[in-house]
Amino acid sequence: MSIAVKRPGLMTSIQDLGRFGAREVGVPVSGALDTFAMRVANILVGNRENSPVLEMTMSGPALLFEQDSLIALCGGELTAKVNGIPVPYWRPVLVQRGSVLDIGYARSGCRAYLSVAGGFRVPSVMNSCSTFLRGGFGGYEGRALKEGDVLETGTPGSIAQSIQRHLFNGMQEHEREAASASWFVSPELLPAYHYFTVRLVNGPEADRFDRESRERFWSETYRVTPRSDRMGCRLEGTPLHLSAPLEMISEAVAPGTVQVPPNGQPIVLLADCQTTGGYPRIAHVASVDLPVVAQLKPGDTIRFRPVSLEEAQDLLAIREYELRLLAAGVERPGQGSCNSFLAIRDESGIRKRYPPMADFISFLIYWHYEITDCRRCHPHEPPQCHRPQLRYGGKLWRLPYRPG
Amino acid sequence: MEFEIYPLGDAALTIRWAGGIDPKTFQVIQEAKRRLENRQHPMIREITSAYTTVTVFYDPLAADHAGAIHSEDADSASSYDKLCSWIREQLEGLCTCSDSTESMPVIEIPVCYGGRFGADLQEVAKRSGLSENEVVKLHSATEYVVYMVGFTPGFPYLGLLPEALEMPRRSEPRLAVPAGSVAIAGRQTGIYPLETPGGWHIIGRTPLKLFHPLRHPSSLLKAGDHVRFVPIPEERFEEICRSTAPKWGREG
Repeated sequence: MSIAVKRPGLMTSIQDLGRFGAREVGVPVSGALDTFAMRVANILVGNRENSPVLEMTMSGPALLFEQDSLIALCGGELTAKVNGIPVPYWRPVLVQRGSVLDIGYARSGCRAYLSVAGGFRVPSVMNSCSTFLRGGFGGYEGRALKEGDVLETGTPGSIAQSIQRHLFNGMQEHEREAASASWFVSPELLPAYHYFTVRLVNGPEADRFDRESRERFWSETYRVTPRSDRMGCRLEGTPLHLSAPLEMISEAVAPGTVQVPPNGQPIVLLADCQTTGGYPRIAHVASVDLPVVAQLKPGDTIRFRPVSLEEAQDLLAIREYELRLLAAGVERPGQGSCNSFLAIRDESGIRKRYPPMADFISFLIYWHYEITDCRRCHPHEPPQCHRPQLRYGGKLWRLPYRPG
Repeated sequence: MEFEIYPLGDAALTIRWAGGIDPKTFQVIQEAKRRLENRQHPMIREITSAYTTVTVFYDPLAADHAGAIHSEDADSASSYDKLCSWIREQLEGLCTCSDSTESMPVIEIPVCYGGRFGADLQEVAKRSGLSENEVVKLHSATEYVVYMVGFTPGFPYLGLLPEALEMPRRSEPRLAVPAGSVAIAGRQTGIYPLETPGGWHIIGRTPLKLFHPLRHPSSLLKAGDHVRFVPIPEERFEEICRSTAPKWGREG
């Protein structure tokens, strides 16, 4: 099973969720920058969420499929066509043998992710299949794809096979090249890609900046410079100043850290960033919003909004929960109410809502979660503060209240 | 010893000890890191250390079964607070314990100083008012500790360099420092594992591979290791080069 690279695109590399456990010896995490899109792409074709995918930047590749393949495209929207016919994002697509998937320029966002059922097969280096470009290892020979490369893919799992069969049977005569599912990821589930406001928690050196700089940081509109890459998203705005010179001893930084070098222009560190740094850190991107930063391209503008550490972790828990809903819906397409979960919409355009509470509970128990509501944990509070809560990770999380 | 804990984003926290770059503080940090690693916590994913800090990367959503199932009260604390109090508990009574005095093995790094391998040796000698030989002697007579590995995979920050050799970085960083280059800056010395840009003064080169992704362990040195440099002639350098592993990626 293989896919031939006819045209590599601007910067196309194989990434999984990252290389963990080697930061201590200076090896960056790497991995997909937009982990949300990457995970959804894998879920839609029945892969493990950590399966290697293609990360395509700004301008995509042309790929020749040498066998029928179930694929999904997620993330920033680079124009995509199979033999000239547009391919939709955020849903499974069956591509017929001998077809060419041609990914063009970014219409919105910066990076798109392509998953294929069975995953791309590359050797694991230091426990990850991610390409670390600067270090020259991992992924496909430690580099971005080139014309003539041949990508091997694994065997599709049972979920992929059932989706593929369904799509194949429903294929019309005129759809010889590709068929896409009639259902897709609900837009309500997607990160606020087009909102261009990113939520941040305070950084360790936030209070070392003078008052004016601190205030400006939260009100300023920053522009993304062309010097941005997988190491960092470099921003441009009115320079920020420290209230007094600061000599820092290097310590750990991580993807999401917003550091301010002496020129006063913030840099949001991304997956390929160094493991340590010595610049003051004014803030840190909430994990839930890193995918939004990953989709910024040079020239885009961005604003920041502060959130508390607790709120950032709550948001992350909700994101995880919604991904679990999506995965469950994809896994059991035939079984009753699963498709009617918020996570998935179909083309009838009917807005799907959260299922009735009874379904909710049985579903969550299946996933070892437990749903409860405010009345149980706050028996003395009036019933109108009724927000569903989710027990997950040893904690109760408040879910956003969505009127039924 | 006094320490403070502060968040590094929503999925990591850093423990910082008072004090600067000195062997005493560093010993405490290594001991703290060992303790946290040995005692394990279901939320902790990865622990790293630097000069005065230990950073704990954690999964705020990881199930803390022990706390969650048995007590309803545990739910009110955030995962950050829970982890902080667990860390404070573990680090209680931490000191430079007696067993830390037991002699650490010293890793010897062969270095061919000066000539085509040490482009800045002459200038270093001139600026420090020593002869080239004296610089080499001073540099290789000191036993160093790896304070941190960072910058690129396998790059060791070694200290402390003898005061006589202390000097600021080059005013103009080089765009390409060859792999294996041994360099100095401030009170530190380091080794470039890959060809990268760099602003330190290059005084020699080692034939050893500091880092190889397919080797286990991938990095020759890790934080806490003790290191001594051993001067070797050029013939020996070539000999060792021939006997080491094949190259990978953009190395050398």
